Amino acid sequence: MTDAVPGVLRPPRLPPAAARPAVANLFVLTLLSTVDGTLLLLAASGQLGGLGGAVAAGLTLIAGAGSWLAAHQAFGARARTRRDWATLGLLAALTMASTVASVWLGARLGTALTLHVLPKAAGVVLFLVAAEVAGLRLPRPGRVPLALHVLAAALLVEVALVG
Amino acid sequence: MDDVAWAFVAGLAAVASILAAAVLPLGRLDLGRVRLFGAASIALTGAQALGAGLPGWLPLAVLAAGVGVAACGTRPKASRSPRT
Repeated sequence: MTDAVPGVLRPPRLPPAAARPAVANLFVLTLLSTVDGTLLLLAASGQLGGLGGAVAAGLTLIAGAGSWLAAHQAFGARARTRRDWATLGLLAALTMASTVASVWLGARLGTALTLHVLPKAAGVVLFLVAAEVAGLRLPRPGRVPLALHVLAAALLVEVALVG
Repeated sequence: MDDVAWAFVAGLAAVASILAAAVLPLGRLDLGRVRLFGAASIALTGAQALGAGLPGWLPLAVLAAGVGVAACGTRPKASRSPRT
């Protein structure tokens, strides 16, 4: 469109297909914590009730270093088009909606039930997530992340205790 | 504020950081260090969930320190002026 303007240096354009895997990674990495129960458990255990906790969760759990890397790979190395901005807008809307829904559900769960095991399991899950972010290769029984196994086991124990 | 309002704050922080990563030139930032400090801040959040009496701002401070260290540590050295 404006590539022919003389004397103006612009970032090199990558073919759109080259950025697609990074965009998919960005969506997965950003929305994972709102779906896998981590955020829900933090809200249920009352860990998000403050400015420090909320901002830390936003910058580390929802959009952590993995999301930053994926965003930089997907959009940082090329000129951004209208479609890129639309993708980022969609990601922002999905992130806000899923975060609010997850926290709302967790807060309702925390007030309706007295949770014994799940808040502690949230701590263990966060340690496992931290290990993966740091680069440790954790076992994946059945190709499912270990954190989800811990979460499922804690959920079963919690249900057994409540029942 | 209630939990949903804090969820908005968390979501806004997440969206702002993604937009910053997508738009700002991060070529000089050592993202490996950011990952390590990010892992430390997540672990601290986990320790808080397990009941450790840590202040709520500590994970955020660790992450901010990581970004600062990564930004400062990779700053290119000042070029030497030719000796005359």
